[in-house]
Amino acid sequence: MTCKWFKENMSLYIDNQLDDIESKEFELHLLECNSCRKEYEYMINILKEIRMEEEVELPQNFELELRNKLIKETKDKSKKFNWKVLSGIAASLLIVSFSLMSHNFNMGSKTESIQKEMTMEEQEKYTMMDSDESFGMPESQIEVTYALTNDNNRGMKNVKNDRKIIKNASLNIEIEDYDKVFDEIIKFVKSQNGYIENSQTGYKVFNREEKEQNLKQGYLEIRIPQDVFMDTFNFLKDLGVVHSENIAENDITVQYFDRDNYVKNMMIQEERLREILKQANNVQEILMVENELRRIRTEIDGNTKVLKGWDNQVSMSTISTNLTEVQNIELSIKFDDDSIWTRGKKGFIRTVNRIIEIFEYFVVKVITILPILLAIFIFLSIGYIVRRKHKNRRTKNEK
Amino acid sequence: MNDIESRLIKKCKKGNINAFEELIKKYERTSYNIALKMLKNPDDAMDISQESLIKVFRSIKNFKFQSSFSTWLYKIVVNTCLDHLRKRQVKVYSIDNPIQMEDGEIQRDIMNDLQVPEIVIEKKMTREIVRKAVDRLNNDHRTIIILRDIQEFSYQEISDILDCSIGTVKSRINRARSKLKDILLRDMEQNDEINV
Repeated sequence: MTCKWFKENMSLYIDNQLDDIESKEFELHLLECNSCRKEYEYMINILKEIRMEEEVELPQNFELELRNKLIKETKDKSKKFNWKVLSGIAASLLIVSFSLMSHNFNMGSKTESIQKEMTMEEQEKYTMMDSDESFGMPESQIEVTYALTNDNNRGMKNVKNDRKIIKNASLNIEIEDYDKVFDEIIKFVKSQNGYIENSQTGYKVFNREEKEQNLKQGYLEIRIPQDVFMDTFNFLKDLGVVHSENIAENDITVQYFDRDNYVKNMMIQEERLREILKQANNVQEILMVENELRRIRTEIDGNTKVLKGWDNQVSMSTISTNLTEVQNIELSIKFDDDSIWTRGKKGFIRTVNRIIEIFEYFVVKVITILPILLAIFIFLSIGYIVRRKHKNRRTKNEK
Repeated sequence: MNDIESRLIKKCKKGNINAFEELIKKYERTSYNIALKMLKNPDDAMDISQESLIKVFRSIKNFKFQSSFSTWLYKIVVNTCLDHLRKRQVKVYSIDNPIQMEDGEIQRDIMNDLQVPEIVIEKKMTREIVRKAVDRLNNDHRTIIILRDIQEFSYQEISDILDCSIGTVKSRINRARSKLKDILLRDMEQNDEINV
């Protein structure tokens, strides 16, 4: 127990921060040491004086002034908010311009990709011919197996590169002059190296007395090379009023090459059987082998037929067209149309859908250009800080 | 924290001025007194205490209900005062700083303070002298004396307000009090010398 310890713990003793034993020790020293006791008493006096100090009442205008400041603060906040709105508008304008730019860019790449598709289709044709050629017989067994694996690989590659897609479409059109349109279609299809697979024409309304009133309707099944499929489809749509349209694309790439390989394997087996036939000694053996050969030949023929059919379907797309003659398209449109109310409703829904679409589009765009926005935000906030500092300095100077 | 207070805080978070005024009614006077003692000037005290209350209003959105609202509020008050002192570099007469001790102003202060001659150290210590001595402590020591001995916060509350450990609070209080005692003793001695 030293005076130093005593002095160090004086405050703690006064504030009851010492534990029982420590305070007992402290009190013991207090009794023993005269100078420490004096110091302690002096300290107590000081603290007494300090604690006697009464709290000062708030100045009278304190609350009023504070209220004014608070109101000003909230107003400042709303001012800040306006600023935020302003910057928001600026940012959204930027977004619009950015998105328009990127949209244009997308359009560009779209047309490019269409061109790419076209060339791919050409490639497809080419490989199709190629695979037809490879139907030729392999020469020996070893070479055969080699060719088999080779073909297999090529098949897989083909799956990746050249898709076998069957395109079908159907159209229902209303037209004014049946015969004229019918001729136009036939002419166009011929010019595109296509053909009419099936057609049928009949009267919808037949009136012996007034031939003007007669109305025809008919059906055309048009086969058209795949590369001019869309052109033809659009041409047909422009002929009259489209009531319904439908395009179906069936990807048969996997099935096609599976069957193709199967046929090739069968051919190898056939070749082997022919070898065996040469070595056959008696009638029974010859008959057995020939039987097997026939079975395989039938299977090959059947599958080749399917493949050829597919090739045909892939290379020539089918468009089924229903033509209906009407007296006056304008009239019929009005006749078929809904009342003003339902049309309005439809328009309203369309607009709402459009708004939702645009909104979604913007959300995606905003997320896309978020990094740029961030940069803009930093730039704006720096500007804001600089402005505020400038203002502060000005107000200070005014003061 | 009681329910009424937390309900008021939630209202304040939405920017309700009336709720805020009700909320701080209890704390306004203490805040003003802390500022007054720290800044030693009623005008500054008014400005700074109001500034800190507005800071409270502004940042109440970020109040997480983890600490007590009162200590959170006083923390802002104390920090705003300290910032103000630092900014204005208000001269603080500290015995830590001998150059300032040599300043003539201090002597004049003493002369003015001690109007009653023949002061006996133990008995004739007036409130005024103690107040002046507190004013001459450095910022840290004055702050802790204000919090502990004038406002009578607990050690835990002080450690929350000043963002430091209880140990630091303990040692700082002890040091501040002994500094205060030293200042007073020295004043008395000088006073005695002058009056002799």
